[in-house]
Amino acid sequence: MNGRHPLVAWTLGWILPGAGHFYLGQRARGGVLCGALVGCFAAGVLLGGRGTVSAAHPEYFALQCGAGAPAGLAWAAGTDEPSDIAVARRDLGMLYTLVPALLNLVAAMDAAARAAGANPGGVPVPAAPEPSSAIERKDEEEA
Amino acid sequence: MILHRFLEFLPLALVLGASLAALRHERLDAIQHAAVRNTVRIVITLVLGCLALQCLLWAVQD
Repeated sequence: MNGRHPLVAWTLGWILPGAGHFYLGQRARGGVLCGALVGCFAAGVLLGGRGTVSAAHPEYFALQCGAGAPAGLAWAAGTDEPSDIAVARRDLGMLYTLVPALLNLVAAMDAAARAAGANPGGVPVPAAPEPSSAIERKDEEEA
Repeated sequence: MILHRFLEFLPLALVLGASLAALRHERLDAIQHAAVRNTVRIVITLVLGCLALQCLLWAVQD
């Protein structure tokens, strides 16, 4: 543990993509996640129209809720829009909202794991090499 | 048409690559390099997978 509560990290990360990592002080990681996931979700809503995030299709809406606040904002914007959006475009918008929503759940779990002290996927730091030759040992003794 | 469909999925590959890179690396420059690498890998995998499926389809049709 690093003084941060995993449940708080998960909740923040779910509500706003990247916020869980910001809470842990990992700003670059949080910024990239926030930009990528919110940007993709917004692109999906722009492509498919406001009706993309709607309780009219609950199976997709439940998954879209994984994006947190962006999904809530898109849902609150309502669905009163002209119905002349092509089906293919609506489907693409749906895909663009579903992928970041599911990725956000993974990111929130990653933030919670890091708050609990884990370093998932971390690159191990190589240990310092031991001095092997007598010359190196002599140099160290002189220093 | 195929290129059009491919371009539709390219942003998703970029988002997936960037997210995976952000989860694995911490420094911004490392994240950027890994995001490009991941995106290229995803695109190559997609292209090869589509080609394999197309070849399978041709074989089945023949």
